[in-house]
Amino acid sequence: MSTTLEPAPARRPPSAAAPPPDPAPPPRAAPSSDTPQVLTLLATLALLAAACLPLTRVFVGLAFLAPVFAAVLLSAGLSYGARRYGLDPVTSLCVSVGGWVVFCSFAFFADTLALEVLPTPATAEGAVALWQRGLELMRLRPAPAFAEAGLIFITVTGVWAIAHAVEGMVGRLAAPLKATVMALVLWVVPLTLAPGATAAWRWTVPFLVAATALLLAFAGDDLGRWGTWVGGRSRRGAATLLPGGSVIALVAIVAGTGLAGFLPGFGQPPWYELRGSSGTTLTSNPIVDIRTRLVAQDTGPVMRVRSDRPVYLRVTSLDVYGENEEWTNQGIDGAPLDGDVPFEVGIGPAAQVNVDVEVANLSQAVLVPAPYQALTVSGEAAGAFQYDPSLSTMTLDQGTTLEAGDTYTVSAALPSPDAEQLDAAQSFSLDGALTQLPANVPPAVPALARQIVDQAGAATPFRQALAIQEELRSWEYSTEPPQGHSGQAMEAFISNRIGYCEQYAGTMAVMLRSLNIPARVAVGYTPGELVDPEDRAYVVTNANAHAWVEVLFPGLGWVTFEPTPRSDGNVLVPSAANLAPSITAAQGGVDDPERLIPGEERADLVPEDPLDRTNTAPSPAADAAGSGGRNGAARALLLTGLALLGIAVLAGGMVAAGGRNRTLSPVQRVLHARTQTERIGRGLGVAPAESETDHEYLHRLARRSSGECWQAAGALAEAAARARYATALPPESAATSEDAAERLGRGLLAGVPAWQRPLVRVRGALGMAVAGLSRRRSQPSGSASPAARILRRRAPRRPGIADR
Amino acid sequence: MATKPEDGVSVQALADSFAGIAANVETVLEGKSEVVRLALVALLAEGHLLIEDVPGVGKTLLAKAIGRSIACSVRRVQFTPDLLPSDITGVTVYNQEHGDFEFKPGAVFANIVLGDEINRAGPKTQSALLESMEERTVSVDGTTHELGVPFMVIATQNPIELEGTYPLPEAQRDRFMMRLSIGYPGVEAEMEMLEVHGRGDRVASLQPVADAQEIAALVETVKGLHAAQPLRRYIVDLVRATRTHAAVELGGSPRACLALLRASRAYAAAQGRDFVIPDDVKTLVQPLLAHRLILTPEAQMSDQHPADVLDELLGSVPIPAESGPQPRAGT
Repeated sequence: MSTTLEPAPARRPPSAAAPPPDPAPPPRAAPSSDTPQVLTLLATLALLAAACLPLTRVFVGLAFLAPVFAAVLLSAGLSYGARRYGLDPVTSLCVSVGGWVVFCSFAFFADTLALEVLPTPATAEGAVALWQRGLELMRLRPAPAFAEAGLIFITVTGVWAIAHAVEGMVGRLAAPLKATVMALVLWVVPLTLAPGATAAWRWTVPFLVAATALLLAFAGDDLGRWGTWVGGRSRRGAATLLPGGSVIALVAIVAGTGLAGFLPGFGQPPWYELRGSSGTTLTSNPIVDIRTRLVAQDTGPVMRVRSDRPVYLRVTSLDVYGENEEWTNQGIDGAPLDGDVPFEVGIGPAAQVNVDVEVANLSQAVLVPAPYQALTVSGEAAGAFQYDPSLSTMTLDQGTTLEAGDTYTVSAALPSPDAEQLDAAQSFSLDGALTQLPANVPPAVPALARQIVDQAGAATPFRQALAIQEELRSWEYSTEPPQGHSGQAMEAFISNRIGYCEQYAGTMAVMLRSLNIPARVAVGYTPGELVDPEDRAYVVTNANAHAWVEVLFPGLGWVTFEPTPRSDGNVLVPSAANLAPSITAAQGGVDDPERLIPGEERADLVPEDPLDRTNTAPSPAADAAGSGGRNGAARALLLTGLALLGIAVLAGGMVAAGGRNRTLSPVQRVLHARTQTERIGRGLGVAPAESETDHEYLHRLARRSSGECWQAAGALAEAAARARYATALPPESAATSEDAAERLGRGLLAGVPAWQRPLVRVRGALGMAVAGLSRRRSQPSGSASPAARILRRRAPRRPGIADR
Repeated sequence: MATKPEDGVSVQALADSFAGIAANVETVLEGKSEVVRLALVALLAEGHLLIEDVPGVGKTLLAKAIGRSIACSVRRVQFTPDLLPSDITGVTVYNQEHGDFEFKPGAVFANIVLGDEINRAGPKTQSALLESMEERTVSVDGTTHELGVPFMVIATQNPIELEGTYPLPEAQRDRFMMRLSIGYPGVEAEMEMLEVHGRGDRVASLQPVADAQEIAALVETVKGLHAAQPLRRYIVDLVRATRTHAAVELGGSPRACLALLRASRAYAAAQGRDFVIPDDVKTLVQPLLAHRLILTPEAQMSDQHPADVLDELLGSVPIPAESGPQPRAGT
């Protein structure tokens, strides 16, 4: 049986979506019987999975993985199945949409289903509401965000659509390159959104490996077609090479891994920060940062602290609870410090403490952990400190960060009024801002607050705060709570009564505000582990990240409350007897305040009026984050470029290299055998002239070889000519020509010392590449030759005398 | 696998017939197999042959041997200065018996017409062949007469002895598909020739190995042979290149293009191949194009010849490797 071909080596139509109309279309080369379809599907799934990996940077925890991977599997699987079943693309799309509806119904709206299987109008309503909620969350939440249903719903939908498209491109369009670019979109979006990470190879390498696997497993005529575009008119360039492609892919991956770290902007904050409209300019919300720190694997010290007594090292405070349902602030506006720290509000009796801090690993923090209320700062790093008195936040000059080894000393006055003073104090918000709550606070929260204070019979703000603190401290602590700190989550939290510091502090602050008590959430570190009782040395780790509550008592200052029953007990629990405890809960109670500073002695330090909070100078932190963002943009672009370059190099290499591949047609195999021989020939310095036929070139080559190469050259030339110019190619031609090419190649290399053979091959490959490039540019000659050449005297010939 | 067009034979059968005829002709023209093959290629490609060489190398012998090897009508015309056009085309005479005008066919009414020393007749007489060679018809006194199939003119001329000769006009030269030179035989062949010479007329004893119908079928087969698009492109590139070459005043005509394709098909078929390859074209370029080129006076002054130009072009015109639209070349 002879293989029927187009009159000439056929150029496949650019879009192979619809089969050619002729009754017996040539068999599709791409995912035909040669490449197991399942292998292609597996490679596609691997690519999609690799493209989804960067989502781990957008979400807190791994809860999102199950629905996202399920969506990938189902979408690609449905598309694959529909194609195998012979459905056309439109029907396949309908099947996919149906699958998406069913999947999302079960995953997100199981309680609205009739008979537990049928979607109802309530399901549709729920979907619309959840979609809108998801869009709202995308606007509100900084990355990384908790895997809330709305966000997951949108993510799953996007992943579903891309998975369907990618599978379709691979399976139907036979276009793995385009599919890879599509998957690249999925891959790059999380990278542009999420905060910077130091190890880009974690995301890059799996993606490149998966893309390589797909392209190599496929190696279909997408590459061949592409090769004819870039390779000029030469069909020789269309062949693909498994080994060559693998080597080039390896180079691309190694280069991508090794060079990524040298890129400018590497490891900087992200390009675009997906976060709320308000406030803080930190690249990640500190309160979300707590959660990541609490579950961080890195348990090494972040600070080493020497202090007379355990103190909370406060980073900043969050005094705005908005409709976006999270605690944040209006931005940090630092002003340079010269030793003395201005006060935010006047404080009353306080306990003085000196704290020496040595930074170990704060990962380039722009906020300085310090006890409240700081009085003076000194030390090596203190020169760069700035201070925002409105939030009692110590920050740094623009462009500087806290690096390992930095040391500073903070002298602070811990507000420690006694219970009578507090009972007497009227807690009120000066401008109402500190008791503001949005309308969408779940009603159950103020109701519970009212219930707690009523049961406790607490009359004064101080007693009410203590009552709520005590109630919350009776709940359960867990770093793996069901959800974050949104309105819904808060509702879930007060019914489940399980959570961690962020939820405790956030909820207590909301409760207090609902009782018209000015409160805010402070963020920082618990005292840490006392490692050297003699030296009073503490080690603070990521696990000491913490959030607590501050309540404003005018004239007495911001007083700390601690609602979180931390499992490590590393908290300072204020009580009616002692508002500035000097022993942590784990150490078994509270002791009497030491070295109380009488209020009158500190009077000169206490400003009469709170600072004007409207004074907003440009924030150094904001600027730092802004410039970081620009770097992040460059980094994201460069990383994307690198990934694209890797793919391009890989694909180009596969096209240029040429090689034996089982998906090649007999014609391609013959021409490839011919190209292999030409490569060796070029390696030996015998390149074919453009005007040379296969017979002429191969026989010229055979003259260079030893052994019985004439026959091989003749057979190969015959097969090549047949492949190029005949209407049909005998099926055995492919094997014959490959065999002949091998014999010829052996004969050619026989005369070359073994150590030179790799050189020959390299030179041959280079020669082929150069020839491919020049072939694209050259025009067929035959235009007028220079006069000099015409008039050049040639050996005289006598006309008519036979010389043939 | 081999193509077998209607009214034709398989390519393998064609190659066998071809080899048979060639072997038959070679029994009288030893050591000149390539020339014999080219001459037969011209026959299968429906072309005409101009054999140009010095006297005594066997020009007429080749023409006669081809004619004898095929059982078909062969006429021989000795071109002389006083030959008239009507001697070639035929003449209408009055038949007194029937009281009617009657057409007496001339020498051209044969399957193979051997025109010996064609340049010795005047241009007027030479031109009598123009219509028959191109259109395979003869028009006399308003009546057009069809010629048989095959029809081939084999003309000889002597390029050395130019005295009293009339060089062929350009239109006439272009109608000859090929110009061949036979060349002197090799030492062995010449020795062999001396050995057997004088043992009777070897041409007269030559037995036909094919007939006109068979040749007509072979011609049909050749017409149906596959020539791929890049190959046709190569032919066009080559012929166009002759037109733009700086040393050439007049290059190959479109008819030369057609002739090159037809001859390439015949050459490929003669080797049992059912498709044409560039090597076929390259082999045929010299015999097909050299006599059609007219070089510029400067090139002629510098002792350049059409064969040199064609060699140069063969070494420079690239062979299209792939099908599909190609950039225009050679303009």
